[in-house]
Amino acid sequence: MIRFDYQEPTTLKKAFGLMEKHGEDARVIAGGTSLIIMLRQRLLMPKVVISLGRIPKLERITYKAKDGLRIGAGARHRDIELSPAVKTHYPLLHETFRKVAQPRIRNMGTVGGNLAAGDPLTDPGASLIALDADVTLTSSKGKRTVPLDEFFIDYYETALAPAELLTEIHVPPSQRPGWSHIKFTPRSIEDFATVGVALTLKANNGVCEDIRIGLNAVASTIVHARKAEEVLRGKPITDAALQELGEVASTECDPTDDNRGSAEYKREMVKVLVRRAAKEALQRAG
Amino acid sequence: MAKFVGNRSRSKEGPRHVTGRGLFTDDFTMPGMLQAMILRSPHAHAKILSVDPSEALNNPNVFAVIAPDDVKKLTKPFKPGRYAAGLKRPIDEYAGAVEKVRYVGEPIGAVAAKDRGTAEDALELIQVDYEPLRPNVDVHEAIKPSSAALFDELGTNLAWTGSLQYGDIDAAFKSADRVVKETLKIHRYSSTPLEPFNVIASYEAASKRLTVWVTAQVPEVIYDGLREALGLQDVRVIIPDVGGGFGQKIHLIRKYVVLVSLLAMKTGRPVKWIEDRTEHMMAGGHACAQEVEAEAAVKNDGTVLGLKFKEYDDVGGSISTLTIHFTNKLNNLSNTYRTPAIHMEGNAVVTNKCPVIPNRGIGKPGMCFIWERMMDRVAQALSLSPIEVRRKNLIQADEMPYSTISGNIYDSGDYPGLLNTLLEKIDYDNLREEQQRARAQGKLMGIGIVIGVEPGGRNAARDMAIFPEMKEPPGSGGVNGAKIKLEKNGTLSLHLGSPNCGQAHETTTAQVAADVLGSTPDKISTSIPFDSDLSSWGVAAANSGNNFHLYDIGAIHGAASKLREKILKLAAYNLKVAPAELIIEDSVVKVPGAAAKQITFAELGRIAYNNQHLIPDDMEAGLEATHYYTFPHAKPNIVPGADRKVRAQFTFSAGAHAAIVEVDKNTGSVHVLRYLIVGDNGTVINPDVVNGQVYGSAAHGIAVALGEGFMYSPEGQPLTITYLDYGKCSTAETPRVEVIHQPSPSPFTSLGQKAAGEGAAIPSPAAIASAVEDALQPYGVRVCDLPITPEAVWRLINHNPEKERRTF
Amino acid sequence: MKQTIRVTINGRLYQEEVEPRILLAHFLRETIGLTGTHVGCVIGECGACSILLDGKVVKSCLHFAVQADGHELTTIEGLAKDGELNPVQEAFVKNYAFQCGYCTPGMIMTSQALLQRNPNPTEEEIRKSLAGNLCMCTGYVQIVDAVKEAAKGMKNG
Repeated sequence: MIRFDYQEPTTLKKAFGLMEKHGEDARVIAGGTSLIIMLRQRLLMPKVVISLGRIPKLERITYKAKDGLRIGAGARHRDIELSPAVKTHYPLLHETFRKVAQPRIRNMGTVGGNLAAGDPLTDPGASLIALDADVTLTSSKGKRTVPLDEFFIDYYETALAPAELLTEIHVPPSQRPGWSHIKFTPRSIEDFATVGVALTLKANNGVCEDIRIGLNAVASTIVHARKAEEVLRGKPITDAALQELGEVASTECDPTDDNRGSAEYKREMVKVLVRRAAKEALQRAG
Repeated sequence: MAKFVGNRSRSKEGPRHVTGRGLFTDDFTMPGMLQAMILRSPHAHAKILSVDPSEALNNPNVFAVIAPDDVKKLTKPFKPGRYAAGLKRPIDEYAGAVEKVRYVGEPIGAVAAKDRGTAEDALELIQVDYEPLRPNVDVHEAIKPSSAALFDELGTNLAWTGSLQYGDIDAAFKSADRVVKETLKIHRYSSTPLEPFNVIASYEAASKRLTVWVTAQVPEVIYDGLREALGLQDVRVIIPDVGGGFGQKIHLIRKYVVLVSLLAMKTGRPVKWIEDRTEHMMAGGHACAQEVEAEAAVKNDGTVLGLKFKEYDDVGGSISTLTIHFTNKLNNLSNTYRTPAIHMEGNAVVTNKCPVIPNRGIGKPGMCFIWERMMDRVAQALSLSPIEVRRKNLIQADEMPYSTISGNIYDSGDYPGLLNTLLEKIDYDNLREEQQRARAQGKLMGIGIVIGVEPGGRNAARDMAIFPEMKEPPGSGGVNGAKIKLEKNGTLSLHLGSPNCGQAHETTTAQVAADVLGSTPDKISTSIPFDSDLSSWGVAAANSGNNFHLYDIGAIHGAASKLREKILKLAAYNLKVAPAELIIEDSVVKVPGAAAKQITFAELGRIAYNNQHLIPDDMEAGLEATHYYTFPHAKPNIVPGADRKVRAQFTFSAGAHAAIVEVDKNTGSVHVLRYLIVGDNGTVINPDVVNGQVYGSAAHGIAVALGEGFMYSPEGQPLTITYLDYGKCSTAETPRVEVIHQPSPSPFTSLGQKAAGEGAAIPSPAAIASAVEDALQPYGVRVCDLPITPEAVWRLINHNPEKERRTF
Repeated sequence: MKQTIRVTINGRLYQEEVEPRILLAHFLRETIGLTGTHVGCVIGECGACSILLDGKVVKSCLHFAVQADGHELTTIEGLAKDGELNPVQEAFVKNYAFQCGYCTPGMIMTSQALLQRNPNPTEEEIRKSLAGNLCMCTGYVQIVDAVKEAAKGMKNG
């Protein structure tokens, strides 16, 4: 393990001060579950590690009917899974966070840390995109809001500017009652998804009124499958339409060959699983 | 009468493990102990041009660096042992790479520093210059003359080729009605023990005495390795609790023990090395990938007249385990069948990947895979049921003991009985009907039925079958001992001759000793760790090769029997009766029916160690016995002769397995609906322990079949160096294996006991392959390659094979 | 730069100086000397290092010791009282829910936490909850049986 200095600022303002002071030499840690692995493997070698653990109120989860859900970046995956408001109003999120890694990670890993890492393999981002989430990015200069599907730029690269922190995730009131979450893992459920699909759907008399699709583990970022959505939005939900939905979704992916599967297989699974997710969501759409 | 053998008995190891008081190598600290890290090759194939440790040594907290020059100067190469049988020209193998590196992660040196962090920092500062060479990852490419040779001395990467023949194979094929052929592939995998390699070395320079604490399975390999490499006479090997072995901690580990010992010698301090998980995954040792072309000569009624197979073994970047996956097939060469002719050809190819080691079962899962896939193939070719074909060829119970054509003698077994019980328990006929209904609904359900022997008790001379002119025979048969002592307070203390990796040796031997001595397991304790100075050990001292049930049980039974004689003699003398009049009950020696004529173990203890007056003149004082066990029925064929027949192993358990699966036709995912084993492990001493071995070995075989495994890039870079990347299954994916015992006790062992450690890992990959192929019957595809990942199944269903082999 | 941390472990307060880079698992094993918590993979995949932090299961290899400052930890050594095994430990011994013992402390801590929040888990719930604790030896059957038996034991008080 590399050597580093450890700082625990007690306010956001102090945290920004440290981040501005140390620049590229510093990394921020929340729960620490993903950063610690990168430090161990010497993929990242910061001289200073800044913990957000002592900053109060960063982990709050609040819900208001008109505004929707606001999740502090410091909220742990487990807290989101167990939140009654999430379970009642956002079953897709409850299901997603129930599946994210295992209790030992869920008890420590934070949603802010997860999103800020920009890891395209992980699940929360896809589900939050399917729910039209946006994120608040804060620095000493102030706050700005970015739609989540514009936040991910490339492998481990996000829209975060230097000395800027993701402080809150906002999920608007749920617009689409149908939902589905499929985390396809050929081997252990503990593993990252080989293909991850999060889908929300509103339908009326077999016609799709609106749809959102988030995909993870299939490209260099988490994908918002807009073109696929166009295929179904406003159209009757037939087998042929679902077939096309899957095909177009797979064209929006760019998976890699790795030990979880070949790119070819993953692309095919996107087709299969997007179709499956849409059918499941339709059943829930009532 | 057996009170404890065969019954449940409280675990002796349990209390310490559930309270965190197990004693593993990393739990020990020594005064002044330094921490080591291993310098490893980042290249799959390269010449080492120079190594400069000077910058690393600038830090006063770095105590020593070992580089290839030190290894060459200060150590000798290991002698080629029984695993390198067949290597006609000796090739020097040092503890670290000296001129060339041949796999990513190969150790080339080591650092000892004040703490782990400093050692890690120091590693980064060692300058190594390599000249990369073209890596070989594919076996068939590697043997082409144009490929870069791993070992210049060999000139080719086909490091060994040879064959063995038993029976008249030509006649078999000439008189066949049909010849059935198949090509089968097994990939690289490993049981990946949860505790990585650990070693602590401490050298007393003035006494020239080296002591190592090490997580190892076979003390002989470490003991001999240290003496050969370091030229030391006084070596002590201590093995405490081991966190899983499975064959990973036998052989390659000796390199690290030598390197760490060198650091201890250089620094004059104890040095500890703990392997990182990624180091283990890339360099700790893999089970061998095997490619087999098999042919069976059959009659139309399903009788198999002869079996021929030719295999290519991908042995990785070392010659020291060249032929083990081939020669181990001699252990179950005939499986459960009476086939009169078998011809086997082996080709060991060195490649730029991790060297292979004897993972659970070694070549036996491969051999069983060959047999059981071929039996299904034969059934298809002849339009017979796979059950019929097997029944036609099974050795019958009344033929036991049965001599196979390669020289094994099966001690006992009722193979048709195991199969019948299995079919009854799964309600086979009804299951086939259920399958028809499922198929009509478009569901892919499959049933796989296989049977396999599980050999036990190793013969150290087995590998001579392929090289009988071996100059230095690696030993023969097996020898191992145990000691038992009646303590002064009347309790019993055992000291076994083997280390253990969690197979409940202490519990099991306590049950055996309790029965022999009329004591109770709660009054018996076993001292650990294994200590080469104190333990009564021999060539069979191994937590491997399914040795425990034979050699260790035999040794304890023998030692307890000897002690019983002494106890009775001393008791008889003090009670003034004849020994034949005495019985022992609950640690009391007595004349039945005579209340006054009794003496307790505690009283005997006080006499034996304190009271010379009460010890007969012709009897040694003390109450202690040591027994070295050899298998009394090891002849004939204990050492192979010109006919190459050999008792590869000495006892034979067996199991019939049923796998029932469902395949998702869209994703290719395989779900195991049910997995049942009807097993024969002979006399079961402790049912919970034996069940645990069967559950564990079956679970791993199933996981191997369904997708866990190692992968390499075309440049020889390991891609699977974490548990998740490698594909380890969790509780959620592992099916609940069911076991029914139907033992045929061995007539040859002390208590009729047979092996249980490797067992279910041997037939289970074949069972899964058979079930998946059966599920895919509507598509008419063959399942011949492992692993059977969802993608592999998807490709079969869609007739869309891989365009480029993604190397395993 | 070493930092002083104060952490309660198995009911006892410890004050130690640690470098920030020391993992909590190594702190427990080497600084405090509680070697029951094991390290199997050091990147949070195998669960051998599982302990309770403020009553919740965490992987101590994914935690720096400094992050534990001010918190309460329970390790395997904190379960038995004066050599009396607690119901989970006793069930593990009786059911042979271990072989080599290396995964056992982590497995027990996770089981303990499961039964504290779900006193009557189904087999599926047990398996999902233990999915982050790998065992190479047992095939998990006896482990699941032990958790079921422990649940009964805890229910009956």
